[in-house]
Amino acid sequence: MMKQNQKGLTLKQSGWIFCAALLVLPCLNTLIFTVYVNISSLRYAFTDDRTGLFTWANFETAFLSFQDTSGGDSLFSALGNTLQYFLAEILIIPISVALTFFLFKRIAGYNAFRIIFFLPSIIPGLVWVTAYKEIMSMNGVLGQLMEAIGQPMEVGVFKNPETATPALVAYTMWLGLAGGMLYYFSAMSRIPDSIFEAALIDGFGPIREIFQIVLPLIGPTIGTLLLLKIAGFIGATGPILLFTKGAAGTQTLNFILYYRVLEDPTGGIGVVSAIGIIMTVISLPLAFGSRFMINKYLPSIEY
Amino acid sequence: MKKKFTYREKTPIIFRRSGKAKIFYGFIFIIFSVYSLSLLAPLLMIFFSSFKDPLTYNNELFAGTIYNLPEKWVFSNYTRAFTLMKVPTSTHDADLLEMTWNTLWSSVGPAALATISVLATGYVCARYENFATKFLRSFALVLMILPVFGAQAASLKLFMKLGLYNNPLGMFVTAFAGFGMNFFIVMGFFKGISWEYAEAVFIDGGGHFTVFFKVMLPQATPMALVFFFSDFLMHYSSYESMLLYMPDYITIATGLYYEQMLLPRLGETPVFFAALFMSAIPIAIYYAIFGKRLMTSMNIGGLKG
Repeated sequence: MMKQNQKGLTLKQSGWIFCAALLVLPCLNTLIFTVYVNISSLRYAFTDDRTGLFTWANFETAFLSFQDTSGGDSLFSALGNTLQYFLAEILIIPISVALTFFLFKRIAGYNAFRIIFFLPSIIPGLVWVTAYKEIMSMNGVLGQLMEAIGQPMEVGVFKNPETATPALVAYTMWLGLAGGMLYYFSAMSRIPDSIFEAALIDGFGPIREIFQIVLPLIGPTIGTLLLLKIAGFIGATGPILLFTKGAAGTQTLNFILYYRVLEDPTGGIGVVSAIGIIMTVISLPLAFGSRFMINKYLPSIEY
Repeated sequence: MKKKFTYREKTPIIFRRSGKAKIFYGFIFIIFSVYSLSLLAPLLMIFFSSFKDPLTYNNELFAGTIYNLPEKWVFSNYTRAFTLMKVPTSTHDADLLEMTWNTLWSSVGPAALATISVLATGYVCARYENFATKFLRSFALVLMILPVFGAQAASLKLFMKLGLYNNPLGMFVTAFAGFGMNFFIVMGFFKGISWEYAEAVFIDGGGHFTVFFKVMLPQATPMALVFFFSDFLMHYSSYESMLLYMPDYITIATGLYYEQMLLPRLGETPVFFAALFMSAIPIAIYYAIFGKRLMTSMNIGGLKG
């Protein structure tokens, strides 16, 4: 006979009650604010904002804007900017891993470096944006440098469509070099000391240590972060709202989605939703494909 | 006589370096120093400029000499930030004190709720094997990997329908989500704890709630603190979601967003810099206390599914 508690419930029964009690609110939350919202978004994409009737017009508008190569405010231009941010995010990964490795190996001054490199994650973004704007202004470091080499700036960097996005991408790289440091550092901390001891005895230098010991062992961590970046590649963006508010052709797809809703919370829902659906459809094969590749080439290692 | 330790004796083996490696590390040290300078110099420039007289700063701006130290230290910029920083909402003007209060509840509350919910879902899905938890594990993975865009418009419309738009309740309700990357970290953590603790509690007559609250949760406290502080940081600096969902509840981040356009136009850029620095102080203090724990507590390997 199954043991019963004071309320007459078996352990298994009370286990079900426990599971239900802990899961009901998070599941309800996810059902409403994630699942229902995304289903609604799909519905709005096929609905005329004024009449409420079924229409393909939202997708037609979105596709036309994707094909418009003329203006700096088109979705085509935004897609180009998005890819620039994505490439920057990918480029940052190996730099970030190397940076974390040398901190992990206690390079001279590593305590101070660790604090300084983590500053971009803790000091509010607007502080950095303000500092960067001052540096890149016509009276700032860049302006004075350009004047010194005989090429004075006629237009501010963030007002010139040719320089605005590259400057923003450079900003994200400048502050993002230590991105992922938390995860990489924690993964490296799990590597047994005996492996490093063996490497030292075998005469491994730092380069061999990185490529033949550290990278293979923290591969799953890198793979997970890489997968998330690739899956969300079309949403790559920067602090555009703080710098330019989308002017000078700096818009990314993600920014367009956000800014259109911010400017007009109740209008244009159909087109915004349609753009989002197109972005999701483009990302899906890449998300699952990259997951397959990463599982194949960066398998989990037990140690 | 004080014993002198050799390099081999005082350095753990994994941190020892050969002669050639030391030269290489020296080169890396130079690169690190240059990068550190690139991060610190602009911050110092803003910090020192926050003590300059606004008129002096504007003159230096046009002369290209804003990197000079202040000739006269103007501490009143910090007190003037409280009077000058006012952001109009639909009902009143929000000052810095109100912004601070809004920042506190909009950071602490959602961070605490998010941490509690992810601990709950992660524990149940780690230790209880049934059709529901199997489904939720796969569902959470799909949610994390599946890229979904453009739902902000639909989300905003839902918030308006439910009366959560421009309502603090909206932030607390949506915080209790329980999934995401932290879910997998929590699952991995609880899977690593022996179930014998729970069996001992069951033998002593305790139930599942006793196991969770008195045995498992205390062991997860360090990890929970890391999640809480990471979420707190994120909400503290967040301005985009506050602008969209809570336009009348001005936080420090949204206040500074508005003031970055306003104060420099009034020629009060040093006051704006002072406000910027004051906003960074709480975070700097918190990191000074908890930074080391953050660095060693996050592990996400093997979440690819």
